[in-house]
Amino acid sequence: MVLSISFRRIARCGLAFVALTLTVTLDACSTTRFHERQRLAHECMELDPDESVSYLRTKMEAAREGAFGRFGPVAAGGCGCQ
Amino acid sequence: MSRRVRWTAIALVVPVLPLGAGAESRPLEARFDLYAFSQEDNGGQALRNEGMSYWGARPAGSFQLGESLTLHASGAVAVILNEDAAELPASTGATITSASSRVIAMDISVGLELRRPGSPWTFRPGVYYHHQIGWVAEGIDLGLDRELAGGDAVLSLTLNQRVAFPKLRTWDDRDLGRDITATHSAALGWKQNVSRSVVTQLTLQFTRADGYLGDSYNYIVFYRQGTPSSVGDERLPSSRNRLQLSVRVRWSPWLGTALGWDGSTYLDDWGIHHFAMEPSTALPLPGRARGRFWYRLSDQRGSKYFQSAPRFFEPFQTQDSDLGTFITHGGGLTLAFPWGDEGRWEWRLTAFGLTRSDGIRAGGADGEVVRTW
Repeated sequence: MVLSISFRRIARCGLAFVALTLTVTLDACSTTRFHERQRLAHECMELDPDESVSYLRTKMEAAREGAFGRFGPVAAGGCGCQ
Repeated sequence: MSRRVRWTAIALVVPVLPLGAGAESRPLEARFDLYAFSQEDNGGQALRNEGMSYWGARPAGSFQLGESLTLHASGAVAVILNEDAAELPASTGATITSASSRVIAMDISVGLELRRPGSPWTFRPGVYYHHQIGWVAEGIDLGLDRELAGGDAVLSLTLNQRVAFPKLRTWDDRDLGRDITATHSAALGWKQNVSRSVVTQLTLQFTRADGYLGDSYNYIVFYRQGTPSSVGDERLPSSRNRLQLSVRVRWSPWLGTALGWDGSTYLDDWGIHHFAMEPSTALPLPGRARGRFWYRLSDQRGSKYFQSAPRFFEPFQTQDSDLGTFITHGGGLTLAFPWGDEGRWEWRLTAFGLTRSDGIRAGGADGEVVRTW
């Protein structure tokens, strides 16, 4: 019970922090011009550069830990059902 | 429940399809993978054989259906070979049965990507289906992206629903019929170009699961004076709240080379705390080849329901080693070899592995051919 309450508080604080950060900072987030994005657009900069490898790693690693097994959004359906 | 998922999926996808009608459609990318994965059990739950191997094939493709609409589809078929059930010490008086030694699993997912030319909004609805003996699941995926700051920032909201219908069977072969597991996830993402060579992404995900959250055939071995004395059912709560915050960074010191760092911190109301980090690098190799290398380190504090050597039955208890306490070291590499005119064909070879401090080891490999248009 104590852990459950603590968890909810942390969840609420986390959401509030992200919402506040986004609100305050997004207006000032224009950092590059279009012609300056050559390096950013290269495939080596992709967060998940290979969809198939992401699929496989999510299945294999998520089933071997208590967490989600990856860093971005994941469906987390259980039993290899991602 | 199942019917509601199907109708919701149809209601989401069908209205979007006319946007692609009448426009010239063309393929964008097609790929085919063959992969294998093997787990070796030198620990984990001491009185359970957790060894298995996994062999699969996966075709996938993307097709432009119109100037605003792209279709993504994939299917996967895999054979899972489980090692035989462990023999328990005679002192327990128990005989264990296990899942079938050979299981065929199938995944199908179809998604659309809708973006009008010049619009900062992208809408991504999709449907998902998973089938294997004793476990059928359906799902809906929704994504909404909004570009801001001239494309330097992208806010995204991702919603996933999975409804599974597991067929429950116990370690002593009692048939408990079918149950339902519903999982809902919401993830808020913020991707940001920090400079002309650095990009970051922050993702906060909350997942709520309800229903049967254990695994068929899982059991608890009780100990008396250090000796296994009896066997009982695994019992876990019927709900679970999970939260993860992840940060990803890519830095390109020069064109074609990138250094990456991914990190996440996770906690849930079963008491699991999990931290993971993954440095990586992507760089050009001789010829037109490319390589990507990564190392993953994770540290997990196990669930409050995990008991390695219990003496008494608690209301909730598990010996599923994946919910235990351990440190994991993992790593892998992907090598890509373009060929043909303008490199529109590509071979990709991937190998990866992990070792857990509780004795579980696993490794996998993937061979892939990709065609882009």
